[in-house]
Amino acid sequence: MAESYRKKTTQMIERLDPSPAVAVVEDIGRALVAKASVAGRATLLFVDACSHLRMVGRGLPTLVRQVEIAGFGSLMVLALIAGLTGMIMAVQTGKALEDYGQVGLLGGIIGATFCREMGPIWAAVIILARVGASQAAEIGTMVVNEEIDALRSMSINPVRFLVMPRILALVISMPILTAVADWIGMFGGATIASVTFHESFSSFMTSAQHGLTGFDFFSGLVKSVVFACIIGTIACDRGLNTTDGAEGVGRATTQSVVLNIIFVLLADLLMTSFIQLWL
Amino acid sequence: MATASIWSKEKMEAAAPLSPVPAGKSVLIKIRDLHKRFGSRHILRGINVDVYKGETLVILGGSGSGKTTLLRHLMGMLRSDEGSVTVETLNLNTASRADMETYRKRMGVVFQGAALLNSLTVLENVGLPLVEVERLARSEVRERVIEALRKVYLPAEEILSLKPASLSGGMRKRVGIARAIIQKPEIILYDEPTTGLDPVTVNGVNELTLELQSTLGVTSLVITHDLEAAFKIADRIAMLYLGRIIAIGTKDEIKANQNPVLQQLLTGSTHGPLTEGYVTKPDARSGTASYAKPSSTKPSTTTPSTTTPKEG
Repeated sequence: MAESYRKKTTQMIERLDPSPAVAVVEDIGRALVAKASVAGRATLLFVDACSHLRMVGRGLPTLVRQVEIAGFGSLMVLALIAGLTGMIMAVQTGKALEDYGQVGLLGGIIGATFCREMGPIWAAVIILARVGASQAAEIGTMVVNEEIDALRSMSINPVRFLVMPRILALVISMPILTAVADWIGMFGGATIASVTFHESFSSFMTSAQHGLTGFDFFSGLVKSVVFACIIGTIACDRGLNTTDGAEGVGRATTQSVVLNIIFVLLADLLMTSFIQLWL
Repeated sequence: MATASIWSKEKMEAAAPLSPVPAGKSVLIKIRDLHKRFGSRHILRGINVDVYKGETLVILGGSGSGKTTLLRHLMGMLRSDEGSVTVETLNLNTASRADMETYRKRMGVVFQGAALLNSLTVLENVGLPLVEVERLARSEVRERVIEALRKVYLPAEEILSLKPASLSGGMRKRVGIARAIIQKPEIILYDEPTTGLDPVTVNGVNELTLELQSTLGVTSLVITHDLEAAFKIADRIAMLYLGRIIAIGTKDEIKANQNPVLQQLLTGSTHGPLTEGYVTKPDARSGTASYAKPSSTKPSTTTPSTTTPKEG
């Protein structure tokens, strides 16, 4: 009797146990819902932060400090990476163009690639890894140490005091960093064009001028502003939602980097599609 | 023969009745039937307590008893699921944002780890509410910060430009107290003010709490599990256990209370309902309640009809 009951129960459990394929679909669904919920919460945080913009004067010292951290602190590493990328692109593309006797187009190709895509994306990657992660960790630690509670207990809104200046600092820094990345990338490309393919610096720049429009440069800057809003908001949101002590701070930092990469690339796809197909 | 009293689980966990307000006292904070749940966990299970104006009420309780949750309700950071927290006529559950801001100006909080902002100096930390909320001029902020730091016996001029990381634990706690009193609050909430400090600093913090009460006339609510500190600074003591106030009264009343939970906390014994969660029939020879671990070698003292496992 007991044996038969056990057998029936086991069969029922086996029937309830989903197949691996169903489990994978369930996992994907769960992950998508989680990402959508982060995006929703971050949007609300962003709107909240924007509502405090009129009080920007009160957060001026924090804003200046954050611009210094985000902007000047990231400049050297971004310049290095943009310069090297410009050089690598020039070597790869220049070799292919040389075969067709079209090295003269190198400036236009590298210029357009940097201004439309590489400049804003490299700036975003550097900022999300260097500044976004640090913002998530800093705010997460403040949550763990009850510093956020202390602010609230003093009637100081943490979104106005911490989040708004951080997002604004990125919005100020990112277009500048993007413009720097654009120019240094092109300079790196021009250096390789001159040394390897005997293309003069001025003809490289003339080619870049022909291949580029003001709109290309401007659209890259607009993208960088959108990326800045995404990175700042997600980093602060992850920090503010930190739980479980030191382990939670680590988790918030990792989540900030991963989610920022996903949402920056997603936003890039949407904006690039819009710019290329409709404008 | 002494009268035996059986402390059943229900009796031990029963909420203490509200005592009438003594003559000459007025109620500043009124907590009524306060319930709070986090998911399936029922943390506060009907708190009823009055805090009188100008008194120091210490709330004692073990880990997980709901002390911090109660404090967060008083800070206006949590809204209750049922019941109310009223400060004079302001119901914190239904208060508007503007009313809460006004209330928070009347209230100072001393956090367990001081909760100073690590990126700011002592001057910026203590003066933060004056700059951000009251928007005072820098010179006035500096003056008020120095005054507050002196009140907590800190060498103001020497530490103004230091960051919290450069201070000792005791100094950080004092800076935290200075920040809590800088707006001259009527109510000070202390969250474990003496935890993690050496005995000399603990005494210093206790004396400071007493002094602030006498000089500033503030109403203080102290959440702690430090018995010595509690008996030193309290006008009244309340015992929080499993989300209910199971005993409240003056120091003498608390000492005389025979609730085994309270007695175990006061004596620091490792045997009792807090650690073992089992209560048995009274011992026939001594006439007092006796406890046995679930794996006790004396099963005869434990009968199934009276053995009740403790929750959580």
